[in-house]
Parts: sequence; C-alpha cells; structure tokens
Amino acid sequence: MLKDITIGQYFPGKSAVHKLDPRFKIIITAVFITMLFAADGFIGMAVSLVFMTIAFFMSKIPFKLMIKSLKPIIPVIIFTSVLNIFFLDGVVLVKLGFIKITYQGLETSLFMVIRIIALIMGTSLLTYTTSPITLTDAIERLLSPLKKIKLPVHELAMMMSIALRFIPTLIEETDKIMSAQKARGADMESGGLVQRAKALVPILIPLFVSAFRRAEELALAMECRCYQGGEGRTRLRQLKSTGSDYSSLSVSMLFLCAVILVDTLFGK
Amino acid sequence: MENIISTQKVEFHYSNEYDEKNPPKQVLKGISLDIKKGEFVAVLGHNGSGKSTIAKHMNAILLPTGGKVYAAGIDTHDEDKLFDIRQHVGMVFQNPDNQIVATIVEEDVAFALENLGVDPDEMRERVDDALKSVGMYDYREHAPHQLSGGQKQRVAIAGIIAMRPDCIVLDEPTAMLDPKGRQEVIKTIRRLNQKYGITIVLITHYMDEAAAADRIVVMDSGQIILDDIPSEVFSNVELLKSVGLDVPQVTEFMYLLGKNGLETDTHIISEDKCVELLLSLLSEHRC
Amino acid sequence: MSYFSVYYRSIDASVKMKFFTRLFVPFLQKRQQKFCLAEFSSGSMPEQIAERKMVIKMSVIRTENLTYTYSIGTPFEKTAVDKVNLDIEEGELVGIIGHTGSGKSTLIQHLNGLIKPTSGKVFIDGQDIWDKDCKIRDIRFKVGLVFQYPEYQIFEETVYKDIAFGPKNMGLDDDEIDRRINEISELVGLHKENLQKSPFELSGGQKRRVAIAGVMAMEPKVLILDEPTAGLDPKGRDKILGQIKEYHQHTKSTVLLVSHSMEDVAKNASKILVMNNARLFCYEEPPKVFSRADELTQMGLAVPQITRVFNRLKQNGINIRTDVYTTEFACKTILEYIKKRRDGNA
Repeated sequence: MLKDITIGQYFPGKSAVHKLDPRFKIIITAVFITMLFAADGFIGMAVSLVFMTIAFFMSKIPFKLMIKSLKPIIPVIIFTSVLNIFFLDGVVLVKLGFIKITYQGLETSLFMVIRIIALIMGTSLLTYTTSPITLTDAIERLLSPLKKIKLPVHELAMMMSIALRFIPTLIEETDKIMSAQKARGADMESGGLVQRAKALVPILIPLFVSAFRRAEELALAMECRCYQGGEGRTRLRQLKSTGSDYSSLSVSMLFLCAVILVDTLFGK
Repeated sequence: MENIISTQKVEFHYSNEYDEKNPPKQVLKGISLDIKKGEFVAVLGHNGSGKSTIAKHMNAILLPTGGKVYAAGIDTHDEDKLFDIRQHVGMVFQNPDNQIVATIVEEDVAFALENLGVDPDEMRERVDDALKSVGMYDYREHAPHQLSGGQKQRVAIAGIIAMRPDCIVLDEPTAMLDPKGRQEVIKTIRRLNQKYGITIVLITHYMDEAAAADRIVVMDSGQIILDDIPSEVFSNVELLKSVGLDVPQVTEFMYLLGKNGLETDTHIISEDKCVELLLSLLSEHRC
Repeated sequence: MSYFSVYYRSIDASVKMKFFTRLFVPFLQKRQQKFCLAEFSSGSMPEQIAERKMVIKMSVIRTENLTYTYSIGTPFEKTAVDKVNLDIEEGELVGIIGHTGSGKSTLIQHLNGLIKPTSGKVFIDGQDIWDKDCKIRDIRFKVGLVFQYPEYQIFEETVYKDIAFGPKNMGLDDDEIDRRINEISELVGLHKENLQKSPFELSGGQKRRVAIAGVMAMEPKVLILDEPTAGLDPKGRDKILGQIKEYHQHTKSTVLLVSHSMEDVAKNASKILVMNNARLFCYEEPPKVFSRADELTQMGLAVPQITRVFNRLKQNGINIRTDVYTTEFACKTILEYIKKRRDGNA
C-alpha cells in the first residue's frame, strides 16, 4: 500500500528534455519562473506559455500526467480566484447584495490562476524528466562554488542521496511494522486525534530504532570502503554539457527577453 | 608476503564495559590465526564465540587490546595506513540493505573508487568488471530496493571487488538470505576464490557453507578449538555438538551407525561418499 | 456443504447399527464442522468390535478457493495465492514449506485477516472472517501471527509492557495480563529479572523471545510463526523450536510454522503443507511428503541430505524405504535392513 507512493514522480524516458544536462534544466526552470513573474500582462504570459508548451511537447510526457500535477493545488487555485474575484475594487459587473464581482477582479484572478498553474506545471516538468538523484547531483555541482564559504555542499548532497536511497526501504519497513502491530491488535483507524497519535508510537519507535541501527551499519560499511568526506572525490557519472544544453538555455533566455519586450511594447 | 592476514595472540574486550569491580568480559582470549594468500577459510562458531569479533580485527574496524594483527603486512594499529589496509582487505556484512549507499547499483559499486579519487575512465572499467564477476552486470541501472537479498549481497561484494582487494572477509553474509540467495552468494564467493584467486575468509554458522571451504577454523568462547580441513573437522561430531554447532546430516548419520557397531567413516561429509559407503556396507549383508 | 468427522465408540457388541456414509447435511447454522460417518454393514458383524473413540475434530482453519492477486490491471499483475483449499484441524503442528515466492507469507496473512482475499473465503472456527458480522480485530486475537525478525517490532520501555501490548489491546484486566505474562515468560525462558529491563538491552535471541511471547500472551487459538529461526545459529534455532514445541504441547493449540528448513519442519511437525507457485501442492504427514522427494527437489526445495541419500540407495537397487528424513530414523532403518538381511540369510 505505502509502496505505491513514488517520491519525486520521475517518469523515465528518452526525450530531448530527459537528455538535457540537469544543471541546465534547473537553470532553465529558474528562467521560466522569472518569465512568469516578469510578465505583466496577458500577452507576456502567453509568450511564457508558448515556451512551456514547446517544452512539454518535447518531453513526450502524457497530457494526463501534466494535469495530475495540478490536483494538490486545486484548493489554492480556488482560494486565489475567490479572493480576487470578490474582493478587488474596480468596475462592477455583477452585484448581489453586498457581494460584488468586478472586471478587474476577474482579470486579476484569471491572470494569477494562469500563473500558478504554469508555475506548478513547469516545475513538475523538471521533476518528471529528471530523477531525484540526478537532481541532487546537479544541485551539488551548481552549489559547489559555495564550498569556498565553508558551506557543507558535499555533506548535504550525500545526506540527500542516502535519504533518497532509503525512502523505499523505509516505506517497506513501515508496512511490515504496521502489519506486525496490527497482528497484535493495534488499532490505527479509530478514535480521536489524541488516540490516533498514541497509536503511532508502536510504529514510530521501532522505525526510529531501526533507522539508527541502519545508519550505524551503513557508516561502518562506508568506512570500509575508504569514505573520508568530500575531499578528493571523483565521480563515476560525469555531467557533460552539450550543444543542445547551451542552445536550450539560449532559447529560454530569448523567450525571457521576448516577454519583457512584449510587456514594454504593449503594456498591460 | 605469504600471509594475507596474521593475528598473533589477539586478545580483545570492549573497553566501555570496564569497571573496577567487574573485569570486562574477554571476547577473544589469544587468537593466533594465519590466512595464506589464495586460501578459502571458513570460521565456524556459535553466536558469542568471537568469530565476528576476530573478523572485525582483520580490516582494523577493531583494534586488539592485546597481541597484534597484520593485514596485508601492515600492523592494524598504524592509523596512517588505515585506507591501505582497507583496500587490501575488504569486508562484507550481514545486512544486505545497510551496505548499499547509492540509489543505483553501478554507482554503489563505484563508491569505493570515488572515495579513492580514481579516474572516471578507469572507474568505469573496474565497475563493469566487478559487476560482471558477480553476475550483476545486467542490473547495473537498477535501484537497490528492486533487488532480492541475494542480489543485494552480490552488489555489496562487487563494491568491494572494485577496489581489487587481496582478501575479502565476509561476516555471516548469508544469515539474512533465503536458500536461493544463500546459494547465489556462496557460488559467487567460490568463483571469486577459484577463478580470481582472491583470499576468502567466511564467517558463518552454516556447516554446509563451511564444508565448501579449504580449511575450517572452529571457535568457541573466544578461542580456536579446531583448525583443519573440513572432513577432519566434521568428524569431531561430539565436540561440535557440545559447542552448539551442527554437522552435515550424512556425517551425523555415519557417526550414529558407528556407535551402533557398524564400520563407518565419520570423515564423510558429502552425499556421494555416503551413498558409496552405504552401498558397500549393505552389499556385504546380501547373500 | 458441511461435514462432520466422527469416529464413534461402540459399547455393546450386539447392537446392530446401520449408517450412511458421507451424510451431506446442508447447514443453516453459522457454525460449520467437518462431518463424515463411518459405514457399518448390517449383515456381517465382527466378533469383537474394537472400541473406537468418538472425537469431533474441528476444522479450526478452512479456506475455500482462496485467491489473492495484486496489482490487478497493471502490467505487474500477479497471483500470489491461487485457489487454495485448506482444512487444518485443531491441535496440529503444521509445517509450511515452499520456495521463495510460492505464496507462504501471503497465505498466512490471510489467516488473521491482514490481507483480504481477491476471491474465496477464509473460515476460522467455522466463521467466515469477512462476513459483516465478524470483527476482524477479534480474529487477530484468535489467530496470532509472528512475523519474520519479530524483534524489530519491539517498542515499549520494559519487556513487561511490550509483552502486555497484545493482551491490553484485547481489553483484559491487569491481573489477567500479569498472570499471562508470568506464565509465558517462563515458557519461553525469559528470566523474571528481565521483565523490568528495557528490551533494547537484551540480546538478539532474547528480543526475539520477547516478541514471540508478546503474541503468545494473547493466548490465540492458532499461533502462526513466519520463519522463527531466521538468522539464528544452530543452538538458537534448537532453543526456539523446542520452546514452540513445548508451547504447542502445553496449550494444545494449533501451531503453524513457516520455514525454509526442511529439517526443522521434519523434526517437529505433525503435518506438512507444501506451497508451490501460489498453489497448494500437498498437505500431508511428513513421511508421505518426504517420499515425494523428487518432486520437492524439482520445486526448488532443499530436501534433507539424508532423504536424498536413501532415494539414491533405492535407485541403486536397494529395497529400502525412502520416507526417511532424520538421522536417528535413518540409522534405525539401516540397522533394521541389515538385521532383516542377516535373518534372511541365516
């Protein structure tokens, strides 16, 4: 049951987007987010959306999945739209008692909603096409200049990668512990908040104990393989940037410029 | 260097148990053991006999409180040479999961080489070779949680092989595996010893695994009580049983028949020899 | 269909009785019991009718076409348990063997309601456990399940409290719980002074005994143990098996033991259940099971060395029984064979 949760929602594939260097993908995503917030009007927004659509097509990710990523933020979308539609001042279109809907309200709400949707879908594209470990790698390499100011970049990346490695294992173990406690009559479904919290104790304690034990054994195994921190480490998987990475980055920069240009030319 | 590992009168107790009134429990009471290059040695003993403790001395995880340990000719007390020792003497542990660090098999096998700063091209070659030698090359891009216990252990072994050690010490590597996994791992270990000449020290309490070794060392209460070839060791049926160990069923069978006055041979540890002997025994009693 | 299994005692030899074999009685009651009556022909009467005991043997566990398939509709769809029909009588010590992936673990999790079957039924003490009137939680107290490496589920501050977890969930009062814990800890060989210690201070073997005691303290009608000897050395293994056997004799409950070790199962079980590729291969007494050594080996099961030896003797022309699986019995068999030959030649 818990095994069905896939963290990071990575969908392996061989599209052009999948093959891009992950560092560039992160930067391009950042550029895209900038685009979304730089856009002042619908035309600018439309330009950003064109960029996003092209990216989605090239990634060959099914449309259904793209929409799935929006499910968790539906409450946010509704909240934002309601806030803007009903509480913004401006030209009144409809009036029901003291509730009013303004033209500006509708406009702003639509704009914000589009922006939120694009934001989520754009970043989802990143996680859909890049495995969690590749992302961690890329972040480590992008941040490595910060080692100079004593930021423990390698250690943070190592922690992330070990965590990612053990998530499926720990989920499996949680399943087992839950089954074992249920077999002794543990009831995790009934009762109020306090009772349910108490019912988690027989699950969490064995899990923590086991996690600490794992950590100890893993540390020993790492030392036996000559682990000594980040100094002098080489990597098996090299990140090599190619022409397509640079050109993709250039294209995204061009779109960003286009968005800014369009806004200055056409205003709102 | 004839002996890959040499322990000389090794004594050991855990220092945090030390206390004026209660002297600490001696886990090892003078172990002198030499492992020759290319040997396949099994160390047999019940839990608490000290077998895992002596194994941990072989690559300097533990340091002796008395006596000395030389691994690949280096005194394990020498802190500076710790990584040299560990490159020559690798160690594989009991829990397959708690040895795998990376999210992808081939990255885990490369872990040791990454730590040693090996050049990426050479790394690629060594990782591929290591995976092939344990039969896991086809799984190089899998995630660890998708593998069975036996497969995970083989990946752990590959991770050590990549360092090209002279010797591998395996501390009860099959204790948590199912019969299929156990078979896979033992087969792999034997191949590594026979084909690649890697010295193997196998800590175990399974006598059928020990029977596959060139030499068996039996431990009890921190001491070595037997050190010989398998057939000699297993013929000591009473002694082994008294220290909480098993003997192969056929050996016990021979022993029981012998006790009942028949002419048998308790040096028999294989099915084939047992059948042979029984056939000749029973044919004597035909008309 | 319901069945009764009845062996009856005839008291008066002159009484003539006539019965029907296999009386099928469609039962409307919820309680279902196995029923079959023996036949006595009215014509001929043996001079002495031996006394036969009348014992009603209840099926404590019964499954009907039990099937479990997971990941239905995906490319990973797999049937873990395939139309298993099981009928286990009370008081048996059943050894469950099968290759990895044969469905043993999935099967036992159906018996205490942890897993709901995709199709088919599970009856505990005659009751359909998925019937709307039946509370699954009660079934878990009736059928105690000890998982593999049970020491990893321990969480309480003291050994006493951890063992008490199950009984407490049952709603028992403190005195009853106390009585049970004292009785059980003696049975599994836990010293009194250990009861107030933290379980994390104990050794691996002791922790395991605490975990097993925790399930035994629920005094379940059926105790299922999944590989209780996993990871233990020979001494530890013998100890645990000895304790399980003692528990079985002491409580007269039904015990199911899942194991990879054929030798362990051979020495202790009264019946053996073999699973193969999600199906029930057979459920018989040990001698009958081991006489099918060839089939077992083909399934990937490691038949005891001694059984293989005797099979090979037979193949080599020695007229000897092959349902041998312990060294003691092997010795006895050989000695008998030799004696018979000697007497034959004398």
